[in-house]
Amino acid sequence: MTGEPAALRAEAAAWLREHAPRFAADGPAPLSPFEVVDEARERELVELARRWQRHKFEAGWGALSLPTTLGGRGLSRADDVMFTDEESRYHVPTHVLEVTTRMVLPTLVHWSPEKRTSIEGIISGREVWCQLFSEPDAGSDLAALRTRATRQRDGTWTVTGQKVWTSWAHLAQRGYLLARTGADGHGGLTAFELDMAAPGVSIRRIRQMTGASTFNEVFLDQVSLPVDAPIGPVGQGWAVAMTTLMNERLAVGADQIPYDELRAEAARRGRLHQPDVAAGLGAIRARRIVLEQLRQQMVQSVRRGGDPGPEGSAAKLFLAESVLEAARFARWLIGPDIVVDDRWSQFALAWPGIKNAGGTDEVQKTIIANRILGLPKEG
Amino acid sequence: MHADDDVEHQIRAELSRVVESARSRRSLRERTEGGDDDATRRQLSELGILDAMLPDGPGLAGGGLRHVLAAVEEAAVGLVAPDLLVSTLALWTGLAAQPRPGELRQILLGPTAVAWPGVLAGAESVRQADRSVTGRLGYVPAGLSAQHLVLVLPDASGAVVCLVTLDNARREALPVLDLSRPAAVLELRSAHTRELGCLSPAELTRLRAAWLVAIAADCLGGMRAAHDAAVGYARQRIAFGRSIGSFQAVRHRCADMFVDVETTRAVVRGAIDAVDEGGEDVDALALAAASHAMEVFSRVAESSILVHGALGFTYECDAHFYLRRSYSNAAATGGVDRLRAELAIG
Ligand SMILES: Cc1cc2nc3c(=O)[nH]c(=O)nc-3n(C[C@H](O)[C@H](O)[C@H](O)COP(=O)(O)OP(=O)(O)OC[C@H]3O[C@@H](n4cnc5c(N)ncnc54)[C@H](O)[C@@H]3O)c2cc1C
Repeated sequence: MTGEPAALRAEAAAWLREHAPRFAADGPAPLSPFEVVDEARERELVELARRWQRHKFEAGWGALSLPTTLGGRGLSRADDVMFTDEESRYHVPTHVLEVTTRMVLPTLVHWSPEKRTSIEGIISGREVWCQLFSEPDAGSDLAALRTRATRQRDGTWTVTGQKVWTSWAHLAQRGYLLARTGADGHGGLTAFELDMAAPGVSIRRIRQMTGASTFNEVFLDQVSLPVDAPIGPVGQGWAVAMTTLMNERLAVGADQIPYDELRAEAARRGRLHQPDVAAGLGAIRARRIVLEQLRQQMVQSVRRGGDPGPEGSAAKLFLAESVLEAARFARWLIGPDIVVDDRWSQFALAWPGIKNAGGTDEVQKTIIANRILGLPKEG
Repeated sequence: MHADDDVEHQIRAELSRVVESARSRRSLRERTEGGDDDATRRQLSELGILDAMLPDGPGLAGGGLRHVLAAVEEAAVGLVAPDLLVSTLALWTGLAAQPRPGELRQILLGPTAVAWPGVLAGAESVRQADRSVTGRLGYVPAGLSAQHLVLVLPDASGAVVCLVTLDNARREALPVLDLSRPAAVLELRSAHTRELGCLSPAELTRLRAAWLVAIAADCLGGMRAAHDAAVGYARQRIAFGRSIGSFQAVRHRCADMFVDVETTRAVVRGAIDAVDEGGEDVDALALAAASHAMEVFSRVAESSILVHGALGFTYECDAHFYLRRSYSNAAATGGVDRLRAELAIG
């Protein structure tokens, strides 16, 4: 079934209007993904997110771009993006499943469609995944990672190493691991599926500067993986990871800029109609609109069968700068009240999370200079 | 021209030692949870920093502002002595009102908090009646432990400066953005006050300039530390087989921070001299120093976080404590824009 995009969008919007409000978390929407929540509330949100995912799946909205043989509707990745855009109008707690559904799922479908149970576990909301790429000595330079997976005589694998900044590892049943199986460099990497409850996996939560704790340090000590653990061919880990990072750029959403909340706060303070306040808000709204259009463009190229491509780096850069601008505006608007620790001061401190996650500004700029502009590389 | 004199030099060296020794015992994360430890407190009190401001004869013949602000700046490098800035403001304000020696001792005993509606945010509701004040102070650094509060209350002929006894004040610890500077909400109900003196508009202008310059010195110390940490990390962190400090993007970021620090150093020192020497341009210098220092402190602290990558976004790294101080300093004084508007229009 391939619907005409506008008709499909209308259909999605109508369905969401009816169903999403019942799955909306109570209380005000968080201003950033790094707002402090206590553990009980976090567990509640994860459960809600999983039930919402299951509900979407049962109604046929859980995996638009998956082939019908895998439980999807055989539509384009562009339709997934369309749906998440519509979905982001509601305060449904999708962000804990972002890595799972927007990054791991398309990677599995592309590289390991035979992993049917895992794919089904994701689209039905049964399992939360985390992505174990970064290490203490391998961040921007991902190919320097050292966690080692060794094949045993019986074909199983043993993994030892340390991962860091792993979002949602403390909530995840499964991990998507990038490890070294061969020589140094890009060629010696393999991607794996990992049971986070396996013996030898231990997790330490890391406190972020807002006070939240959405990521972790993950220690892998002689963890045994089954024969069929690799995602994609052995030695092709770099290519597998690139599929994931491409999809991550598609996940860059304008909803990370809390324009409505900023506007409401300005109104609450009786300052909405002051020219400098209105102009500041207008600048933020313009950034949201620009970002939405930028995304539409990427979606079009995906619809025509292309990849999101390095243009995604422009979107990531623009988003991160926009979140920083919104944070600056919030500080300016809130004025002296920002000295108190509350949701606004946490928002003022959240932007470095967005600047780093998914590659820093410098890394994105280097991709643009190298791959799009074809400039000579830095010596 | 500001040249380091021997006393200033010595104060800086001694404070650096206190900072180094505090750092060697406990991480900043631990210190923001429990405050300075006893050893740091003892070292600081032995230095008698505030005494440098005292008159050692008739009039102000002490070290003036320069020596104590050298200490404020160096303390901010390590985010030690959380109450030093406000105690300095309290004493300087008290001295300006020319109190009796007994009253001066009470301020000195410290920590003494300060409030000045219109200059430091949070004191707008305070009202004076007879020999008492009533009102809610929404943000009082050092407010949890202070015995007294020096209050500047502007009136038609300038301002009165009062010493408020906090024995019966209702205090509530405030969860604050700047974790290295604890603060409280104070509820004053007919709190006993003593008038220390009255200030003419000219004296008030000079006092305000001193407050701004003191906060600017605090910003300067903080940004120096944030810059040093970034340069240190850029040197040591390896990516793509080289130190990240060899990538032009990182090098330039560090160089930009250097420009911010050096420009601030120049304008803050100039402003301190103007306050100490009673220069005519003191007001403009203080406004320029404070607005510049506040803006670039935030920028330097932001950059320092970015140089540290994801580590900079966590409590495993000290960078965010400086960002918190920078955002808080700028907000507490009503924001950079207000100071700039005043600089242009008066
Ligand atoms: C909120 C958040 C969530 C995250 N979630 C995950 C996750 O789920 N899974 C995961 O694997 N990782 C995750 N990460 C990690 C993220 O991918 C890394 O932080 C990022 O790749 C940067 O690596 P690093 O932190 O080691 O910084 P570094 O690579 O050490 O960079 C430090 C500084 O050097 C600069 N730099 C480095 N190389 C160059 C260069 N060649 N040219 C110019 N400048 C350079 C950087 O821009 C940065 O300013 C997350 C990070 C954050 C902040």
